[in-house]
Amino acid sequence: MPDDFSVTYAALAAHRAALVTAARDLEDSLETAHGSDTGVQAPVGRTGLRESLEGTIGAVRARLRVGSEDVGTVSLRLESLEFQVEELDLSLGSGWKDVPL
Amino acid sequence: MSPSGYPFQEIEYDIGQLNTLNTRLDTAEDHVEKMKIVLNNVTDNLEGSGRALDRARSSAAEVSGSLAHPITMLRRLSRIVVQYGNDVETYGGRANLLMTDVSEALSAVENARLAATLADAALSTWTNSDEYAQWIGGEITDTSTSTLLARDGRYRDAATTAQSSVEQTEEDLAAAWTAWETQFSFWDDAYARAVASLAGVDAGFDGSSDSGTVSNPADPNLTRLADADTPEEVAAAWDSLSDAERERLASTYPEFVGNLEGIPYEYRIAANVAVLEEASETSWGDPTDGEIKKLLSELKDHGGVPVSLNLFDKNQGTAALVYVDGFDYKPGTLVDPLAGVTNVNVLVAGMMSQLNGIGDWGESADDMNEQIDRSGGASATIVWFGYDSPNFVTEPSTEQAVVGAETLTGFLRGLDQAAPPNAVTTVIGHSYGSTTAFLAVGSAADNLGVDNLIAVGSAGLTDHALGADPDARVDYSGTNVFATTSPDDALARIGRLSPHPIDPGSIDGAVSFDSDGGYTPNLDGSEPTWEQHDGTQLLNTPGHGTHSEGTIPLPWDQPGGYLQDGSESFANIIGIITDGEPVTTPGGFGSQNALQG
Repeated sequence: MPDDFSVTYAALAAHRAALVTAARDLEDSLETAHGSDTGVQAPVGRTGLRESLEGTIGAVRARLRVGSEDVGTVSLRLESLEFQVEELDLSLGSGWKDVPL
Repeated sequence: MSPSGYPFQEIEYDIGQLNTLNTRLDTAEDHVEKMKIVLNNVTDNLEGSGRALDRARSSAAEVSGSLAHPITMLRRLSRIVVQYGNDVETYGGRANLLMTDVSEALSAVENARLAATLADAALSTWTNSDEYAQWIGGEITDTSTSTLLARDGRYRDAATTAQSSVEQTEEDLAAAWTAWETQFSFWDDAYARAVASLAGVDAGFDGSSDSGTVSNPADPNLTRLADADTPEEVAAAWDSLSDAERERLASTYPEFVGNLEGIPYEYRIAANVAVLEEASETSWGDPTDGEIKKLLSELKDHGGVPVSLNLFDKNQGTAALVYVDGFDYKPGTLVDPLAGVTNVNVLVAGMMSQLNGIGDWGESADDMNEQIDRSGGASATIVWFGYDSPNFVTEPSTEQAVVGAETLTGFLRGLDQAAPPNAVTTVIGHSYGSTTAFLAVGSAADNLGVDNLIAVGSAGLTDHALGADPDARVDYSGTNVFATTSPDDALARIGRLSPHPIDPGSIDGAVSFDSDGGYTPNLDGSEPTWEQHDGTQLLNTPGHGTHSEGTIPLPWDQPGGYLQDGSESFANIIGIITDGEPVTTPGGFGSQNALQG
């Protein structure tokens, strides 16, 4: 049990950190993508593609941001689990995957 | 134009930036993958029981669910960028390289034709000479027959050779055109496919060949619209559709239909209202939520209907609202707001303009319509917040004006197509909005259908025209140009200490008008004087502002902004629109100049 506890605790803590970091990095990379020149420019005076592309990047970013807003809630709940692992008799299932570093 | 009607211009793109964008989108996908692993682990692979665990599973599943669709969109978006990047580099790059061949072939044809003309002229001179007549008539000539025969042969050979050369160079030119047109048309198809794919990114298109090509489209009518290059072509394609098909396209691709120049305004408005109302059901955070609220308020309370809308445009939301006295959008109805109008006015916002502040401009639009209508016209005024406007740091650059002017060019071309043919179009640009508007109009050979171009508090103009040619210059001929800068507007003058230094009032033929306070003409039509000034007193513009923030950059409100009813600037704009000239005389009674004088 002590071994299970430490493995599960560490895995949950790593996952919580990875989730929060990924959400923040996701927003950062989309913010940069949205704020930068796409390279499409205005070939032969046409602007439709550039405008659609910028708008779509913005829409995807906004939707992901809305979806990511509850990441904080998930994180808090994971944190809560971290401190209750022993009490909950919690363990990692066989399908558990490590987050790539 | 090429023989098949393609514009013979360089296809602009920056493959480095396209690749960088793709890398950023890939990076975003990697972060999403990490999030998904965590969320899936928590949802499906935490074994145990307890309320805390249930809550964690539930939260993770909820987040996972809400991210699913945008993640799919992100992947599709990434593929569209990759596909277009490949296509533009391949076909656009080749077409650009082949432009040299076409240019050289054109020169060769020109030179060959000139040589043929000279050879024909020499032959003609010879065959019309006395010596030729004597020789051909069998008379005795001073020159021997063999010499004359050789001379005749030389002239005829030269003419024949020159003609052959013309034919050869024309064949070479035709081959060069064919090679260029082939690559251009491939790029043209790729561009249309990318536009259609983005329009359908919600519906599953991703720009790959199995999501449809122009010749074999997944949604033929969508691709047909995306492939139309001008508002006229779009309008023709739209006109050919059934009502049911238009309804399907508008409901399936509302962002696309709402912004495509050439689609009648009534359809665009309905599509944009649908987008706006759907967007209002989600909490996006600021400033988007506030902007949506403001746009809905303009729609429902002030009659400002969206003829273009991009809530998530680069750096800021953008939109254009049209105001027509007596016109209100009614859901389920399709009414053209521009039907029967005699005047169309476009207000182009300047530095730091945000959709949250569009209300004051809507008020100006209403005031403008009311006064023009009172003069016997029927006015529509559009407030154009359609570009990423600069802040104090970026204002000295011309970059945002260039991008904005490119977008405004398309918008004004669409407006020209949508408005009644005889309507008088007036574009009024404030601050950096004038930099943008003048660049758009001055770069177009046809002036984009703009009759009057007015700058108020201009941040200055550039004389470099839009496009890839660095030597191209703006030209305002064919448009009436007017300008004013209040003596108290230091910010406008500071704005001109930049790569856009030209005062619009200095353009050849431009009419400068006052904005420093004064009086309208007396009731008997005479000029106001100290002894008689019974017209309306008009306010000085006390800074750079457009409305009651007229004191900008000073932090207190004061009326008299350039576009506020009651200011001399606004009265003169109305005079220009209704009578072709400002109502006050520069330096006239009541102006600061007159008082100081």
